[in-house]
Amino acid sequence: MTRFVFRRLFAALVTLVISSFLVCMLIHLIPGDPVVMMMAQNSSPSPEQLAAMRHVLGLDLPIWLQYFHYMGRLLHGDLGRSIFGSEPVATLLLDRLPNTFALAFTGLAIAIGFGMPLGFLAAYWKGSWADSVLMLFAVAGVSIPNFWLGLMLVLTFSMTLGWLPVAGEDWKSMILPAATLGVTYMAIIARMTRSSMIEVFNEDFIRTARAKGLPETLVMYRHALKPAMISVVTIIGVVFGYLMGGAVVVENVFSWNGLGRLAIQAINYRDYPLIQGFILLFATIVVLMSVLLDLAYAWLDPRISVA
Amino acid sequence: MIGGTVILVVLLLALFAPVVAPFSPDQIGVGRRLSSPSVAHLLGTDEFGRDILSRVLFGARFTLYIGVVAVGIGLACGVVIGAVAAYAGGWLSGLLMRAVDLLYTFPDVLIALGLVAFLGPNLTNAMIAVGISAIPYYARVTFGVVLSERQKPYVASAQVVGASHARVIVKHLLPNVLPPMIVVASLGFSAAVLSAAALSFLGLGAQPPTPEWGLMLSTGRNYITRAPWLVIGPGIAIFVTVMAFNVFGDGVRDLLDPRQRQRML
Repeated sequence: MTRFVFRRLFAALVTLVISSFLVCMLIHLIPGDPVVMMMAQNSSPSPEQLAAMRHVLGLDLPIWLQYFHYMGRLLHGDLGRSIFGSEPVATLLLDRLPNTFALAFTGLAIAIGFGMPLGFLAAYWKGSWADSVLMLFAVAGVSIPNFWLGLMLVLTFSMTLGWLPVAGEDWKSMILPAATLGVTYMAIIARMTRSSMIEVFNEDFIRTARAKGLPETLVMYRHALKPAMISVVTIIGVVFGYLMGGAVVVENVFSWNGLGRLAIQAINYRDYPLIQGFILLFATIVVLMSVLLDLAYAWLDPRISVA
Repeated sequence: MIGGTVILVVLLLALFAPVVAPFSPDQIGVGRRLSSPSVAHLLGTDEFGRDILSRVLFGARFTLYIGVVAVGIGLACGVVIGAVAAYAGGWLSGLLMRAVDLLYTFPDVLIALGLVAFLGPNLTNAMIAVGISAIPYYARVTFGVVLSERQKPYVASAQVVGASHARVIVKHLLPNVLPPMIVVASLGFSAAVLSAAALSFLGLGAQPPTPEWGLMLSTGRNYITRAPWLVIGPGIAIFVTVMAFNVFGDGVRDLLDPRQRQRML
């Protein structure tokens, strides 16, 4: 187990180092001269100003040295400064992080809370009309653009019925964005739960439990639910990264003050250090989450760490 | 069946948009700004008095075009990477698939967002970004399929006859890899359409006055209190198109995968 933990952590570290290199190199994707692009908002910079900016960003150095410097600052928790407002990027990002987490985890809770039972029922009633209806809803949930669903919910619950606010910072304002996020991933979770439960129901131990005359509720509760719980962890692992990606879009629909909204503002202002910081933070969250879930999975099912 | 039919209808509407659409998508009408749905304008008009139905019909062209280009980029690169990795084996396979796994860790929206942010926000870059962000997905599927196909006797017999590696991959392996890739491409198409529409909605894809569905929703939301029909037509269009490709992909998969079909019976 210890060996597995270390191997997994090492792999995550390698992933993060490579990601940081890719993020550092993103600046070279900018067509033309990145410094000119960055200072384009600023009337017309003189060659001296351009050279000074180039030096501040370290773009006058060879690529490997650029990365070396970038990494050096990164290890000190320095993600550079925002071009606009010149605040430290790390501060800006960390200020918004709690909001994004609140939204993402509420959305995840909704998705699991509804998606798992629906998938379980669909698998249990496999082939019936209820299964077909549930799965049709699941395909619809996967197909609906989350930004449009968000607008429709605003139209219904805020504008027509007046039950919920369109935007804001309190818990009431979080219901619609979290529901928007939840519904899309609920559908994915329902589909995944259904297919994994169908496999569980075909297992020998379920047949044995039924054959020995155990009441159906006990078969489900004592024998089918536990493997289902293990599969939840796998499912969260698959969905979490996508859910965080979805949060970026949904935040912008509801003007939710999180990382996604900040990122789009940064892109519109060509605030490249801020965009880089955002991508790196996001990548780190996704990688750390996948490590945590792998470890949880290995703890629940010891066969994993041996393989 | 239903999925395929809807796809065909969308395709025909896109092809014959100039014939079917009652107005030009760019025709501005000063006197009929934000007018509600009527017989003349079935889906109403937008903030410039343009006919929304006509814009939705022309928008189908952009959506299909975006989907084809993005899936084309993703599929072409993904299939090559996956097939080479599975066929070659050894260190090359390890290297390629590790890189693919690395990218696969990150949500595709994040990759697309990062690329568009630095390449510059426009429709072409959005298509490229969405295509690139899907490469890991196609590469992984191809890798799995080629890996199992490679074991089959027909590959060994082609090699024995003296066919080059490139010939074995292109002439023998790829034709057998193709059918499962139809499923993958169909599901990938819906994902690409959704991602590209999301980018346009965020202002990072198609730019005005393009009648692109995501962009139409983005501008329409500013008028959501006065003219909610601005966000209804384009939204339903995306939803129906994406759903058609998902249903089609699922249907073909059930047909191709006998294990699944048996389970259904």
